[in-house]
Amino acid sequence: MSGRFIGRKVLQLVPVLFAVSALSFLLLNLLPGDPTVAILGPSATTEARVRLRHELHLDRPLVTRYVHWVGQTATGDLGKSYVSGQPTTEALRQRLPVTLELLALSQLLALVLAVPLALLAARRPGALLDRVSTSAAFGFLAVPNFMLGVLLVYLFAVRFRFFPATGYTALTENPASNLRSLVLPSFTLGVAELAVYLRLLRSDLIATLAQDYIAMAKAKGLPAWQVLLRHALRPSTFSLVTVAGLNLGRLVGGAFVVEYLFSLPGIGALTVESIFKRDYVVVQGTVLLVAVGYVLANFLVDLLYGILDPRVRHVRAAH
Amino acid sequence: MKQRALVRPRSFVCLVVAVLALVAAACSSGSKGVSSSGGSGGAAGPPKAGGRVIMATEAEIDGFDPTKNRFDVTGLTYAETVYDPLAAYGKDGKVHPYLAQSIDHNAEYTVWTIKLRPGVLFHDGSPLTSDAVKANLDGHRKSPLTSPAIASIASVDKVDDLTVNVTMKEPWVAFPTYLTGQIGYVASPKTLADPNGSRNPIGTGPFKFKEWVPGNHFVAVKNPNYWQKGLPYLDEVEYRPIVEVQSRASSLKAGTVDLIHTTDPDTIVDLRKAKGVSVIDDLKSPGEHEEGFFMLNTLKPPLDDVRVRRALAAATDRRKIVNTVYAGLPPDSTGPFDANSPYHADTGYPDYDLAKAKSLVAEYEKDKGKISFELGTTNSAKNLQVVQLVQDMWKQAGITTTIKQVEQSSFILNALVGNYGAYLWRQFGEPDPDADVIWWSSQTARPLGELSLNFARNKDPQIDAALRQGRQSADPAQRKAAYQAIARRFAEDVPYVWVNTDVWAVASKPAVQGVTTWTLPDGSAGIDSLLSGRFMLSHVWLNK
Repeated sequence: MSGRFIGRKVLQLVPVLFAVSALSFLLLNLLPGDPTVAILGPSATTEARVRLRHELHLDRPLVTRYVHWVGQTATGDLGKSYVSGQPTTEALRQRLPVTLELLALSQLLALVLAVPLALLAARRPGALLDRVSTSAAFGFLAVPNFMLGVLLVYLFAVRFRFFPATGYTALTENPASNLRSLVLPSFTLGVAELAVYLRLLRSDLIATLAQDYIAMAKAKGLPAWQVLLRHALRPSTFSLVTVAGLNLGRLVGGAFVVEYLFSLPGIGALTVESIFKRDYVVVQGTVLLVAVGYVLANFLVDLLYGILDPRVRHVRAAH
Repeated sequence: MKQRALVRPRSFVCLVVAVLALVAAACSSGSKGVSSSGGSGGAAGPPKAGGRVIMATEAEIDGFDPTKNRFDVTGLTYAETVYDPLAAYGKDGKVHPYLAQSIDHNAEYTVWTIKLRPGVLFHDGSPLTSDAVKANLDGHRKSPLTSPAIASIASVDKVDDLTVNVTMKEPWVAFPTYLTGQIGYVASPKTLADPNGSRNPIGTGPFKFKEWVPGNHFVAVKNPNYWQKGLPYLDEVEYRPIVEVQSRASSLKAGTVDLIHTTDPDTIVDLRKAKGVSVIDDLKSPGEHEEGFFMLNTLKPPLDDVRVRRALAAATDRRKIVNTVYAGLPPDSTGPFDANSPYHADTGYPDYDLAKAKSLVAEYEKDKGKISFELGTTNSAKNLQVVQLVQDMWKQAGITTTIKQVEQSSFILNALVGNYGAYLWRQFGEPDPDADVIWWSSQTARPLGELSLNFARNKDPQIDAALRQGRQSADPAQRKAAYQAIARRFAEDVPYVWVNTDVWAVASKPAVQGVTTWTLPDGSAGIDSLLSGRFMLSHVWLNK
């Protein structure tokens, strides 16, 4: 992988970050209201509000405040919450692992279930397994994630106490509790992805399996599993990988809802709360983080193409 | 290879039916169980020491500094672990000294003297002295958050190491009630001076701060040197904010947490029916409950005309709203003092009378034309239901409204500057009505566009006189008369269209005891009901 390739990708990151942070800053400040309501409540005097706005530099022009924020961020200081005084970097550090784990487990769950099911379904299109898994996929896709979450909590936490209804234990504290607390949320979040991946991979596999070289492999007498796994799977994963990368945006949005429902102390919950309280600085921090994460994820997807398909590598090397 | 249809109709239907059957089976074998209300000691025997309680609260707090962070009910619940209030309410409905040894006044009620107990230590070992109390009170007087409520304090002076004199600008009979709330919690001066103090509190309270991960959990451990010997019973407490009320209730039912609080009537009704859950509510408790009402902007036409306001009151079927949206649980309201309050009286507030409403509307229309204004609420689904129901009720009387949903932060700001017509609001839940002065006085009523704590902006000299009497009169009968006069003025002038009294409930596993049975340091019984959802954690124990 050439240094130039990586360098180009990093350079692409910078304008994206500027654009995203500027836009979110603008949108946030267009919202009526300001943090003084959240901080002081309804019973503060005019003078107190004016004084607080001045302390928080909220009476300065928008562009000045944005430039100041950029300067601060460049030195690694993401500011402090207006409401709680907690440094943003500390809040992000506390909450990022939770969201990352949730996203990772959701994707893992979706892939671990989707890939074998797709393989089995593609092997015999139209057979019982194919039809059942397809119907189930559509069913899961149609159910809103918050409804599914509530149903899962009712069944597996309240009726049968397999999992906790809410809450999160850190991985470092107790790995078993940690995984238990994330089963229901990961399933809630991952199940819609499962449906999409299943359908996508299945149709790509069917197309691949119709190719000549597959017929050749079968003619050579290779067992079915080898044909599927070693010859058919890799070329069929391009769409899957692309969608998985793009999906991160959708997953982060879904994570907001799931974190709220299951009371997981992640980035999503932080962002939602901070928007309500007009905690501009914290929201800017989370938006930045999500933007960076999104670009990185798609960068990884690009890298993955190279690994999956040697032709891509050679084409890149030629440039 | 033959391509079959993607989805065979028959198998799809079978799958759907199977899923529905599973769901129906799970839901119908419902949790019918013993419904009990009252998780309080009684028959459970003497309190046992030990154990750990996890409580789920309705929101995360902003911080632990009483002079800088807002303490709503949740804030006070958190504060109760690491701090003690100077005073607390007893079963007799009166304010008793709690952290303070005594709270006395001079004959004119212009000087209140707070005497502390000797030998009380903060968690870091430093002694509780009058310097600490002075630092707290002075901090409140400077705080943009809490100073409006105590604007009548002229000075706070140290008399000796254990005594503080608080001098008022006017006689102030009900001052001690403020010492039972945010203003009464004593934080160590180090906490107040530390810029990070709000995230690392030091107090005198039954539990010592251990850890706080905002949005995740707060943990406090037993204070071994607590000044009330034998307390607290619990070894450790943990608080988890769970905003979504259904998740909170599920957490209790699933056993993930031990204790929750809520104001949602549907949840309270549901928890009362659940197995293995004890529910205590405050429907019967004395002292002001919060009311739900429509707040009217009396400076903005057409709501500046009292006929319109009276028409709205007569056109509102309160009982129907409570039955439709609030599961019939809370009582409907005709004023700021509900049936259990010592200030309750018949106020003459209009009953539901559609004919009367129509005639008032017709009278106004002859003069000034059709009545139309904006009706606002927050983004909550339940509030929207109320507002839609009421819009229809008012339409029947000939009043047209447009519904506007506003997000919470802007909602409060709009009310403050008067940028609203009628807002669905919730307020006035103080244990003593003196604390409502800032909301009802004409001194805090400002013109449109200026920040006005009296949101309805009604300037009523009769109410002002009554508020003054209530604050300065030592005679309980006179105070009662004063507040009843205010309630009658509200009924005549209708700056508020009352709907219901709010209900707080604390639900727990049956093992959790002592929520409403506890003793004050002077030996008398502590208040035996939830005061707007609050209770003394130091006296809670686990019956295991």
